[in-house]
Amino acid sequence: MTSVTLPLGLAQAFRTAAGELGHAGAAEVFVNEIAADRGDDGVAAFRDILGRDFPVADALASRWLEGWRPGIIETDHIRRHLDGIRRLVVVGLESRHLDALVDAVPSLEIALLAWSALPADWDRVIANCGGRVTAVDLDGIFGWAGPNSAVLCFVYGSADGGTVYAPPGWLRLHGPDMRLQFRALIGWNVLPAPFAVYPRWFHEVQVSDFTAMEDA
Amino acid sequence: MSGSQFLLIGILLGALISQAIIPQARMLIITLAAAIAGACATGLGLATTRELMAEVPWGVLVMLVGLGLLAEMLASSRLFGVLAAQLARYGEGNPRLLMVALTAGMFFVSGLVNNLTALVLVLPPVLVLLQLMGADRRYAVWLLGSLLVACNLGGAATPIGDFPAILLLGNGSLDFGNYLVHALPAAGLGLIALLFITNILIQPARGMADDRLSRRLSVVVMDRLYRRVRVDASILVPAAIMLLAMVVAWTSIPQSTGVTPDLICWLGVIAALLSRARLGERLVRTRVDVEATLFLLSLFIMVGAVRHTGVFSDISLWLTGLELPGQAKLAVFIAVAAVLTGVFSAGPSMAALLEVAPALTTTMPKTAVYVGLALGVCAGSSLFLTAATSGPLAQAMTERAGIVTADGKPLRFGFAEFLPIGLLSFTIILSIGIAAALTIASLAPRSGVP
Repeated sequence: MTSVTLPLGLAQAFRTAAGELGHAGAAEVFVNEIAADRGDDGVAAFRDILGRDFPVADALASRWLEGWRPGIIETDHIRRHLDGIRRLVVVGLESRHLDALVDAVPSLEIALLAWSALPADWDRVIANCGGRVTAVDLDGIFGWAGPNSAVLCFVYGSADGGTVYAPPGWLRLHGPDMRLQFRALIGWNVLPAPFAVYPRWFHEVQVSDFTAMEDA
Repeated sequence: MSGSQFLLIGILLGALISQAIIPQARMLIITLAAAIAGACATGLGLATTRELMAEVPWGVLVMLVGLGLLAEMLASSRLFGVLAAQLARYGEGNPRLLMVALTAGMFFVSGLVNNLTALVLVLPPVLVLLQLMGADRRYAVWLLGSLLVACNLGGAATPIGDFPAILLLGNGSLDFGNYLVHALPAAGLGLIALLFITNILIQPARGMADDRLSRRLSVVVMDRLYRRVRVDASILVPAAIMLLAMVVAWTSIPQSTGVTPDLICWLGVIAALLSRARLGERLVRTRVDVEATLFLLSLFIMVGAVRHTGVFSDISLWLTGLELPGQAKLAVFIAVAAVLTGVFSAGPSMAALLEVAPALTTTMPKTAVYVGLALGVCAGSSLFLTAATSGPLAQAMTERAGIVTADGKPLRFGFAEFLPIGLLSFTIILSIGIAAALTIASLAPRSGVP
């Protein structure tokens, strides 16, 4: 434990941010600001205070303390899987990654599953996508199915054991018939690192559920 | 009081009290009471339902629906969300600066769109900000309370800001320019007085931990939440142009021409909606405020039935017969309007008091009477959390947001929490309302104000 104190209400603030920026996106913002104001001791305190409730923040803070820094989001490896794809359904939310994808593939029609465990203002989330992304609910997703359609899901965790952690929306969506309805099921691993605590908010799924898995 | 007066006033008051006690059956109670009032008026030979319906100020309802649709169109442009985010950015996470910026912002927005819409547009980003700031309970309650009062003041500042002012414009009591010129400075003064007293004497931010990191985080996260949200000019521009054109028409076309404010509103709003036909059609089909329209229609019918009993004439006679100077009568009238609104809310109070107000205009300038009335109603709307529909809405939105204050407890924003803010605002706005009306009256001989 560290002796650095952090503002009260940090958990609530993080929860609010994570709802619309994504767990990793919010963690990057918080770690960056805390490091600038309180240094590495502050980041360690952040991990101690919030890590148990928000394991992605815990893992990201640990990586930060090991010297890792968030960089520009590369999309080339994801774009390769999108050759010939016209319509993409995105499951889960990581705002920086979604913004990068929207910018990188201007011809792609994108739908975002507007469903998550944390509260979010989905109108605002969609408004940030410059008219390029449509919100879709679970019932509406199969309207996006077809030979030129794919699903992209943000996942987390080290894939060494053949599993990763996916948002709850993926479990609601994924079934045996899904591969028949979409040409590709792409996993985009936002945080390919092991978790020190069990990643609540997410569910363990097989890497083999996806037709492709790429690290951020 | 005659038997018919007793019966019909009883129906009106019974309906208002019942709907306040059982809000989940509000519309059924009010519409049923209107039907019973119509039946009683017919049975007592006072007026037929056809006559009561013919006396409904339909123009007011047209303006209410029309301006509501225009507000929806402005909201679709995302103007207000971006504005709220900018204000949060401008406030730099400083609690005191934020309170001033957000309250002033709410006043501005509420002057353009009705109070409920203003609240729905401005409050969500503010609630997010409160979550991000880790604000303490006292600060959060005073911020939310001040926003609610600013919402009422903004609504009273312009003739299109809220129902009471729309009613004055719609039924021809006062023209657009005359109302704006006199009500806006008074309402603005009310806002400044509220902000001054709140920030200098009450100091809601006092004792709140001022952590630079907390401020920085709230600004950065708000920035990220609105990072690419842009105002949709293709919606905003036609809506703003039509609103401007309507304001020009309201101020320049005399009502004696027959081109009434409601007709201008009707034409202007439809033209604005036509400029984005798909959006316009969707808004007309799904976003008309049926609840408010039915509520007011029912209210007008009940008040119309009461009018036919002669009770308003009796009150007018009593008011004019008071052995008081004209200015004192005006002050009493405004104070009564404020208290009645605090208890019964703005709709019923305005509908009833507009029947009495003409008695005062025989001896006092009508601008003084109606602007005073609007400010009195505004004071009453700010007295209790339950006095205006925006109060319970703010309460529900706050509870739904599940904000936890710095002491780790859930934030409550209910009747008791709002009461100190309500009492302060009531006193400020009522004082300014009376002072403004008396000033207008005393300057009328020189200024030529009607």
